[in-house]
Amino acid sequence: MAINLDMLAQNDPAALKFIVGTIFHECRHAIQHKAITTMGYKYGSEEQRFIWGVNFAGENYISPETDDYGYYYQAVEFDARNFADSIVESF
Amino acid sequence: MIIIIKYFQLLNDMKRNYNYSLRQVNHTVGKLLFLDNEVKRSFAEWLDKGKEPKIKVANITFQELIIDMEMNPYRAFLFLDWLKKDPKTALKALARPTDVVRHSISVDQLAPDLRERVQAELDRKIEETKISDETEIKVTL
Repeated sequence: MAINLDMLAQNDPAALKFIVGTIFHECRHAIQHKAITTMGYKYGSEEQRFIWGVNFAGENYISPETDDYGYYYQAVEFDARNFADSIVESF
Repeated sequence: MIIIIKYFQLLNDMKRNYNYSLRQVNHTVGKLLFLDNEVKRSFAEWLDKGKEPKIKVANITFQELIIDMEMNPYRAFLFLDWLKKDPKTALKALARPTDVVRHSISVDQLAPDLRERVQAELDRKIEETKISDETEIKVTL
């Protein structure tokens, strides 16, 4: 993960909120990945891990370059977006 | 007048001109079949006759999606369809940044307790989303 320091230097609350949200969003993807690939790291419910597993495996992940709707509503993006939004909104 | 677009025409165009994988082609074709009628007509005229789409939905034109948002035409038509059906969410999504997971995971890379169930679901999904070679999109102009 890399942060554009010019954006950080703007000292703009909206930009800062955006950066923090993006960091939490990407961290959530890392947790999703770890939860479905790491033995013994049983984060989330069995159903949640199964849904993430199906989404990440076998070319099921939909990139926004193919279909914005499919990208927006797929399980791992929906979850990461809600996770990050819920944190940022509490600021 | 009726325009009929065959699956192979779409497959060839998406693969050759937009570097789509078979999976992307089938996903996209599956959605093109259910486009909103106005979007579908514009799509058919673009593909079959090379007619520049003049369609505008929620104040957003096809050209803006292609030029400003750098979408390819297939993505732009799917997006216009979303804009027609749920403009509020589509516009919200357009304003958000997107990330892309570049590496899909093979079932063997999953934790052992997930593998069997995920594989069964993947097999089921492949069957469910299979596109027949005979698939065609019919549009009445």
